[in-house]
This record gives sequence, C-alpha cells and structure tokens, in this order.
Amino acid sequence: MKIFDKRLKNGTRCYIIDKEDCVSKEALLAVNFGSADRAAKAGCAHFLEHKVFEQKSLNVFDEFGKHGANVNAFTNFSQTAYYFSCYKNFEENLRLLLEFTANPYFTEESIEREKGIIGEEIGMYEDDPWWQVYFNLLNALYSENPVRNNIAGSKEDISQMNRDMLQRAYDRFYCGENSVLTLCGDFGGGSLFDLCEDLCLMKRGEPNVREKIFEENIAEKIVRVNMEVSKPLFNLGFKEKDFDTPGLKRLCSTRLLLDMICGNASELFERLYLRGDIDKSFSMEYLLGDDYGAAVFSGVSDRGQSVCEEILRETGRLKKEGIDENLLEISKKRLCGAFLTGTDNIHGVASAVTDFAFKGIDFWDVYKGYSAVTADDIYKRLDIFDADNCALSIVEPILK
Amino acid sequence: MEVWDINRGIRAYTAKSNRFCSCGLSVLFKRELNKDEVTKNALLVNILGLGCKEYPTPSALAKAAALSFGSGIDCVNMKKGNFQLLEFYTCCVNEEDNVKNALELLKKVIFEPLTENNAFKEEYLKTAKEMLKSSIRSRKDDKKEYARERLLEEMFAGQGAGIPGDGFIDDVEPITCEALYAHYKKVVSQSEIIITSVGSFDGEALKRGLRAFDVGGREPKTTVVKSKQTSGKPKEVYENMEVSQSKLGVGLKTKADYYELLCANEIFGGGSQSRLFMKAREKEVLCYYITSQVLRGLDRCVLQCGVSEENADKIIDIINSELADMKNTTDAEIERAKEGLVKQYTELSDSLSAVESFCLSKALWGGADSPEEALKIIKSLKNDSIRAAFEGASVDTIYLLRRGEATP
Repeated sequence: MKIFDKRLKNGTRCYIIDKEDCVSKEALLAVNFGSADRAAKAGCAHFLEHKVFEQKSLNVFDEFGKHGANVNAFTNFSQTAYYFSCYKNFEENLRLLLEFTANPYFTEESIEREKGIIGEEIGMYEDDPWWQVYFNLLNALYSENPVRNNIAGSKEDISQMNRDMLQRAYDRFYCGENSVLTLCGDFGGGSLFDLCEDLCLMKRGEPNVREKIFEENIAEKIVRVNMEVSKPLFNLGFKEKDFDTPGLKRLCSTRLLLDMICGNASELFERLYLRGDIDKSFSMEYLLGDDYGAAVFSGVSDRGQSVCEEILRETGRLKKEGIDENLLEISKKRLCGAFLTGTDNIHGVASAVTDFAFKGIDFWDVYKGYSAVTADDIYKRLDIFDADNCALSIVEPILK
Repeated sequence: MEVWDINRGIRAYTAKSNRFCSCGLSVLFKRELNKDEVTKNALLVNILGLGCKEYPTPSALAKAAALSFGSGIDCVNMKKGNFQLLEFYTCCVNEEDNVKNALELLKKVIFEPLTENNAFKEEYLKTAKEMLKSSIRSRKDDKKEYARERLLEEMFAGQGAGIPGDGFIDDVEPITCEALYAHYKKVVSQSEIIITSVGSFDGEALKRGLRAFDVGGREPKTTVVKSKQTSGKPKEVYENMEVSQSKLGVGLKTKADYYELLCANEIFGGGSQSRLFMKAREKEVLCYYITSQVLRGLDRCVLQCGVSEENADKIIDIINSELADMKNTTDAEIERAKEGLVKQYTELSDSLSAVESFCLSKALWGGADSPEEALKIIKSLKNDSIRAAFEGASVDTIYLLRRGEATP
C-alpha cells in the first residue's frame, strides 16, 4: 500500500492510497470543520452535513445509485466528511462527489424538514448510555471548549438553525485550503492527481485556523446521571496538559502507555478482570485535539470509583518504579500489529489518512512512531495521570 | 473459496487473497441453540478465554499472543439463526511464523484448558459466571439491539432462534466446575468444527496446521435445525422502559428463496434508497433510521425503526402498505436493487470480515460456493420472481419498546 499526496491548485490537499488488487474504490472529501469549532453554533457542522446533500435539481443518493455507488457522510469534533465507494464508474462518482459538495441548495422548507429527522437522531443518542457517559465526561473536563457539545447539538440548538446560518458556515469552511480529498483503491500509482485537479470544484478560501484556548481546570470531578442500564458505566478521563509536544509523539506514546497501564496483557487488567470489576467491554483511547485532549478509560462496573483509584495507583507505581522495557515491547507489538491489520480496511485507511492529514500527521509515521517511542517518552506522558487532573463520568441504573 | 475436509467433522473454508496483509483465523464449534445448553456454552467460552495450561492467566495468554504473532485471541459466543457458535478468533499480520504460531496458540486455548481434578478451576468458574451474568443483565443497555433481540424472542418463541444467545441468568449459578468440564468434553468431541481462514497465507502450511485440530476421540454429530412457520394473527408485544425514543421491531413471515428475498428486501427496506426509508424518513419525516434485514435460514425479515411513540402506528401503516405494494415493483427499482447487491458481492472480496462472514454463511446454510457464484445467481434472477418474493409475506410480530415505567 503506497500513499501519494499533492496540494491541488484550489488548495485542496489530495491523497491517493494505492492498494493493489482491490476491486472497490473509495473517495472521501473532508472539510476541516466539526462540532468543536467555536466559530459556529453547536450542531451546525452536523446539520450542514445533512443539508449539503440537498441539491437544486438532483437527488444525490439516486445519482450515486445509478452509477453503482453508495454515498454517506459523518461529522466528528474536527471535520465533516463525505464519501462514496464503488467498483465501477469511479470517475463519474468522483465528479458527482465533488460537484454536490460544491453546490448545495439550502431552502428554509428543507431545513425545517431536516429538523424533524435530526431531532430523531438526537433522540437515538439520548438513549445510548455509552454516548451519554462519554459526553458527560467531556463536559466534566471542559466547561467552555465546544468539544463538550453533542456532535448533533441539542434539540434546542437545531431548532434555531436557518438558511443564513448554514450558508455562512458553508461559505466560510467549505473551501480548497480547508479540505482534504482522499482516494483509496487500486489506481496503479498516483496518476489520478490530474483528474482530481480537473474535478475539484471547491473555491479557494482560507484554512480554518482555530483559536486555541487552553482550559486548565477540571469543570467537575464527578458527574453522575441515571439511565435504564443494568450496571453502572464509567468513563475516566485524564486531561491533556502538554500541547507543545508534537501530536504524533503524544498520540503514539499515550496509546502505548494506556496499553501498558490497562491493556489486555497488563497485570492491572488481569486483576480487575478476574475480580469482575471490569468486563470485555473495557477500553481506552486517546483523544487528540487542537486545544483539547484526554486519555480515557471506559468500562462497566459496580465499582467504577475503585477501578479509577486502582488506575491512579498503577500510574503512581509506574511513576515511582519506572517503565518496564519488556512490557513496552509487548505493547509495541500489539499496537503495531493492530495498525497493520487495520490497513486492510479501505474505508478505515481512507478515514485515518484524512484525519491524520488535518492533524499534520503522516499515516505511516504513526507506525514508525510506535517503534520510536522510548521508555523515557512514556515516562513523561505519566505527567497527565494525576488525581487532580481527571474527571469521572458515571451512568447509573435508575433506582426503583 | 476452497473447502477442505480436514477430518472427522472438521471443515475448513479458506479464502486466500493477497489483497490483505493480514490473516483472519476462526475456529467455531457449532451447536444447536437450545435451552439446556445455551448458558453452559456461553460460560465455556468465557472460561476458556481466561487461560490455558501453558498460559494460565489472561495476561500470560495476551503476552504470548503479542510476542508470538503480534495480536490477541478472542473467545466469542455467537448466535446465528438457530445455531450457537463458540468462536476462537485471531487476526494477525502475515509475517514469518505468525499464522503457524497463531494456530498453535488457538489449539492450546481450545484443547489444553486449565483444569484440576477433571474439572475447571473454581476461581475461574466464579469469574466466568460473573462475566456471563453481567453480560446477560446488560442486554438492555443497548436499546436498539435489545429491541431486536426481544423481537426475535417473540417471533421464535419455543425455537432456537428465540433463545437469548447468552443464555439465562437463573441457569448460571447451578453450573459446577465438574459439570462444565464434562460439557466441555462433549462440545469438543461431538461438535462439528467450522474453520474459516481468510487472507494471505501459505495454503499448504495452513492445511498442515489445521490438521492439528483433529484431536483424538472425536465423534462429531451433525447439527441440522429447521425453522418452523407459525400462523395466525400478528403477535403484539409492548414493553416499557425509560427511553427518549421508542424502538419498534416488526417481524415478517416470508416464503421466497433467499436471493429473491434479498433483492426484494433491498427495494423494501434494505438501505437509504429503499421504499421504507424514502417514505418514512424522507417524505413523512417520522424517523432517522428504518431498516429491514433478511434472516438467513429462518424465512423471516426483521424491521427496525427508532420513532416517537405517537408515530409508531404510522410506521406500521407504511410497512403494511409498502408490503402490499411490493407486487408493483418497477423494473427500474429491481435493476437498482440488483445493482446494489452486485456491488456488495463484488466488493466483498476487499473486506476480510465480509469474506469471513461469507465463509461462515456457506458453512451454516449452504448457498453459493463463492461470491462470484452468488453474483451469477443475483444477475440471473427474474424480475417477476423478485416481485413475487413478498407475496404471501405478512406481519408476524410487532414489538415496541416505549417510554414508561419499566415493565417488571
């Protein structure tokens, strides 16, 4: 698998991921505008994602269907992405993707209608305890940063959406300098740049340079809500403090450290697991943002608080005793293996390359980055694992 | 895809492809889903995942997997139609001895369990039980999935497919270390074993490695389970819970052949181009998601929709009216649906997990020998037979999870 990249004339950064022997091809166009952008109202990026599909005289889904493609989109904290996959008519479908995202047609009537659909989508997330426990954690870690907002916004947020608001956001963020186009498939090399150059219609504009406002304090130490769940769910988050170290280094070293603290091969995981304090759903992730970030442990437990105390004790022990090089090697093998097996997923690779591009990270550098991390790097990352620097979110069963 | 008969009830479905840098290996013990053993099977998977003779703890096992093939081993209890599958899975990068080492460790986990005095270890049984009870209790945490499971329970009451895949909470505690070990011996010696291997690997070396799964003393029994059709008025079930949005599940009885039904279902409710999606979401703005899925081997379809309670009846009306109108499906709709399926089966070979699913479906329910053959079948389907696929189909069960004080 080879990755080629080029800046197109309109400013769009274009990546071609050449995967030999693949039948299907995917193209993904993403703009650097997500739910955690201060410049727009909560839920705006996601609402816009829905409405960009609306065209004056074209049904986007029908058109892709006619050309044998499926089209979809997603919004996350920092980007909005539109993508399709097909095994034939790639050029026509690419043209369609780049046309419809460049020519949305907003009407007040269709915006009103969409409020009903997005309202049901929000209702679906309201019933998802994992979604709730995660966003409650972000609300506990951040009192101002918009990363705390639900990606789709609240029902009240979306009730205020109108044509002007969407048009303004579209005009500001949907431009070449603020977008990434990623193609993935068997293209026989990187020769498709000329085609992309011809088809990429997005106007020139300014990149989205976000104002960085670092929030040091934890908003709330513990947040508890009740939902219809069988056992308490918890998210324990340690807030990022170091925004000076490059993102790649923070990403690789924090992921390795998390695996060492409580990955499947760790002593702590074993202790908690055998005691029934956590189950197979236990997981960890590192959230990497411009002016937000957190290492998050997530699980189901009757003793969530004591699990959190054990995690803190373990990080305390590592601070005292140092990093075991042998265990670091095991974590490197696990993460490098998972990285490589992940490259077999076309959509996964296209999304990851795009996401890393917005973060200024080269895809293969992540793989190399895991190998390059030293015990010393890991040790420095322990700095964020402090009792004063974390928050706990719990979703508890409804008392009956 | 190649099918290798390894020996004594062990059949391997292998799809070698240089498209992948990894190799997915799955060893599955096939059991009939029944009330007597469903809980024991689920418990068995949990206890075997905790360690084996050589690597007696979860961390020792995880370290061995990481060091010898850069991955881990997942022990999964799976429900597929009327079957329960005990799966032991890994996916590793195809480098040096990774596949060989992965097979060796899988074999140790399955056939060399940690025991004492002809029984599983008491301490591990206790942990495995807690894990299982937690998993059974947590069924309702994911409301969408819970509504689907409850719909299946109601649709297939008294049949395997109606049994919850994790088993029953009241059956967990009475299982002893001895009884579970005796059950383990029965499972490993009497079950059909399905092996799927997908990705890049050395075929001959793999075949040699797979022969190791033919341990002595096996006398496998064939597991064939047929679904039963019920008749009469649709069953309506309502359940209350503290939810923001109601979750509607509708079961349909069908009579058509699989590929005809698959194609007709694409038109009916299979995706964002389907009639139900266009009508219920895009036109009437009643929901965010509405999908219909064919249940293979069970002659049924299930529909799922998240909807405000006051609109649930409107969705059911739309389902009924679109169902009745399926006989008027246009040639253009059929062409589009076929094209959608052709896309799915053509692109299937790019996804390791999709090829694994295809292999497993073949093993459980037969059908096309390869995605290419499935493509031929789909392309040759007659428009009239697709139009007729929902003829005689009717709503069999309606399940609604709605807001309100929880039903005891």
